[in-house]
Amino acid sequence: MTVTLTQPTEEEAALFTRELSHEDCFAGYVFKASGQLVVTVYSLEHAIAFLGQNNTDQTVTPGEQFPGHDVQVAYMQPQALARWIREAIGDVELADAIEAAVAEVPANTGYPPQLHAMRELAAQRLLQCYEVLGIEANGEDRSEGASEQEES
Amino acid sequence: MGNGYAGKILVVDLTKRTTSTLNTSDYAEYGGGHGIGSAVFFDLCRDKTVKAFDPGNVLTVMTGPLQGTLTPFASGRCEVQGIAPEGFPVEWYSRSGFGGRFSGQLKFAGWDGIAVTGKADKPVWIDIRDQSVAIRDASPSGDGLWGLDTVEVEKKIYELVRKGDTADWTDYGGSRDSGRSTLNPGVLSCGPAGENLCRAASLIHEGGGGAGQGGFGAVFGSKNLKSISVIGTGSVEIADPKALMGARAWAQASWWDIDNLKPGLPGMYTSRPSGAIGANAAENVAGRDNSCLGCYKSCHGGRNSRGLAPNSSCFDSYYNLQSKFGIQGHTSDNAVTTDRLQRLGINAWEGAIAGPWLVALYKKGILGPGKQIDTKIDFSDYGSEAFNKAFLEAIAYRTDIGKVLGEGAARAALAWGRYEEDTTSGLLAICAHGYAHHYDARTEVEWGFGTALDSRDINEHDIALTLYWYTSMAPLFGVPYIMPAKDLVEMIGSTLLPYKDPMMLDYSDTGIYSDAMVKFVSWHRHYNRFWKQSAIFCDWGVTDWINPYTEGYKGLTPEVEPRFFNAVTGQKLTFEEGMTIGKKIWNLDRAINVLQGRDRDGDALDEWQFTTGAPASHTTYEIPYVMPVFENGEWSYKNVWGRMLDHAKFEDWKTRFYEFEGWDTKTGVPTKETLDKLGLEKVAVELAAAKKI
Repeated sequence: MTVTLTQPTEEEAALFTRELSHEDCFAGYVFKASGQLVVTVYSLEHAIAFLGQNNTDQTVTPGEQFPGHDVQVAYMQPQALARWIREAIGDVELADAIEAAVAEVPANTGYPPQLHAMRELAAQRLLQCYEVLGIEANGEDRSEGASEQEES
Repeated sequence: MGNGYAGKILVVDLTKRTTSTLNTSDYAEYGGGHGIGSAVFFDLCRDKTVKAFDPGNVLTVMTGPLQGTLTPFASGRCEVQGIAPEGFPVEWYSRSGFGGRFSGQLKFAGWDGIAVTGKADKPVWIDIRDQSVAIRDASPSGDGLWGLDTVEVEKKIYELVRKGDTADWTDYGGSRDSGRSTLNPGVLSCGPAGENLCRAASLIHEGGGGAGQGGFGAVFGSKNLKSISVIGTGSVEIADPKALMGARAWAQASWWDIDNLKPGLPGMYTSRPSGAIGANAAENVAGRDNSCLGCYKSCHGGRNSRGLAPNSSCFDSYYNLQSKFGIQGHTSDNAVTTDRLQRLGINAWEGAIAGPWLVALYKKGILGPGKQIDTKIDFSDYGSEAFNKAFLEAIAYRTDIGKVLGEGAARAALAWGRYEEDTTSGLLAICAHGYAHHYDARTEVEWGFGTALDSRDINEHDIALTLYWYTSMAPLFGVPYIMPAKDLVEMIGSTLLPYKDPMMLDYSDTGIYSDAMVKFVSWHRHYNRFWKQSAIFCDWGVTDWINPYTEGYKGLTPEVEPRFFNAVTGQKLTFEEGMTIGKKIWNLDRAINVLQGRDRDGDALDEWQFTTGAPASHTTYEIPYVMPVFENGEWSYKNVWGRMLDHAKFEDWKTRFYEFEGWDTKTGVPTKETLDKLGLEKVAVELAAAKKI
């Protein structure tokens, strides 16, 4: 179950949403049958956008239908992402929450539920920051809706 | 009784503005496609050391017997060959391929292929209507094609060829049953990037079919050739129609049966409600099932772009994943960018490799307004539609940073003094020969070593889809493997004719340098050279190595390839005989590269693959990259991520590879004995004359 993060202060919100230097960047890895791509991310918003590149949140059981060659996985190792959020972005609460949420995911259910937990928490934090900073989230699907954009 | 061949190859000399023909039968020993293309190139290109943009470069666009027939995964494929400007530091003779229906139109018009020589004195297009061939004026004062993007030019040609009526029958002469058509011509064009000699310029057919790698769009541009258009009203005569239809019914029932979907495997096959990979007509009115000619797989679902048809579906829709704006791979926003890329005619891989590298240079303060690499393009806005427009147009029209980037990322890095540093750190992820990292050369070595030995990123997904993609996707989605590693490699290994050796599939740290891997990389080069690039089975349809429709998941390879080939040609070619033809073509290509200066040092991978186990960025965490390994006497699935290559071991492996191929172990040049044995005596003579052997 998703926890509710503490509302950040204006100072924290600015810190959490800033763009980082190249030295502090993080990278995600896109699995796609046609090729692989490393995606360098420079902010929390960018990381959430990357996690939205995933085109299925489906957890599979044998015998089920499953997206085939066109499956696309946006991979960030949860512990590494949490470490980056803690150390580079400076958001200890979000990092802890991600680690705790991922730890609750049952074993052998694979990556999709982990991704879902990471994205949900990170998006919650980003929207909190926008609210505190008075930034209106634009129509582009930056967070929750990203999980629904592709599955069809 | 036919044999699938049209019988003639069209030769167009743009300098003299003349046409002539070659008899396909003189080249039939190469099967078709790339093999015939290379053989024709060898005969027509008198000086193989000419540069890619020299009028002496010969570009061949080739089909084979299966194209234009009802052979799935093959009918719509076409191969392009020539000296390729994208190669770095040498413009190695290379190849590319594309799907759609150009190949069928060419065959229906009575041609197996086209060879283009020389250079027109002003922009032209080639207009083929059955046996009638015209070289027409493409300049602004003529038909006005030069300067148009790849979609605009096709629409304009449709109007020109069909006299303004693209809805009704168009009469091209002849009888009622042959000589008229309701179809638009098949058109292959370069975009503005090709016109402006961008080295990563692609050739585009119908908006989403593209020969990307190699930069052959720029070869069109260098020859002042905008488009080749072909409309055919004939047909392809084949040897055994009943056998062909039987093979098709067998393949469809045994593989990708869209009317009877079977539970898929993670990352393998399809389970979309529409029954077609990448398409979903039911839930997206803008998209629809979309196939190449004669294929039922429908890869080109319409949501990744809005081309004419087929739509983009592959890496061309992948360029924009670096965006920080949440633009996902299948949204309409991404389709806009994908279409822009295709309309301009830029190889998507070039954008994908250059983008993150340039952003890193921007973040480091090296690139930007007034910086060491001066640009007015706003890299803080990377990934936005405005950025994409500015960035891609700069490359295509050679403005701003595109003046240098149009030479390709490798040459740009060299010009900016960054090549050594950035390809050693991996910031610029070039795999080899100036081509982008695609699949990991350090883990999946048949891809990496094959690329080092070849002329370009090999882009052959067969074993990658089974022993990396499936084996990594299954644990990523928490799904048990269909069988133990031992059983899987034995099942696939049994198809590696004539060797039948599962040890060829050992991707352990020692296995990748083993004699068995020498054998597998050799097998892989020969297999692809014939079955996928000369018989021209689509890389996304063949090879079939894991199949949920068959008992025990055993794929249709090695039965599927010769079954179709023989039904069409009437031959009794065995799979192994096809492999021998593949070896011949592989050696012919090698000889052409040798004439260009290829030697042992040219069989190289960029340095970062020897210095870091990380991806080409700052990620240090482990990524699932699971492959079969044979360690301590047992097979298992193992994550081989993080491996670095070793120079000494790779060089030793190369020596054994050369020996296995019958090449000089010091130079990597095929020996006279090897060439003679393969029936390439005249190639040996030319190598001897050039003092290469």
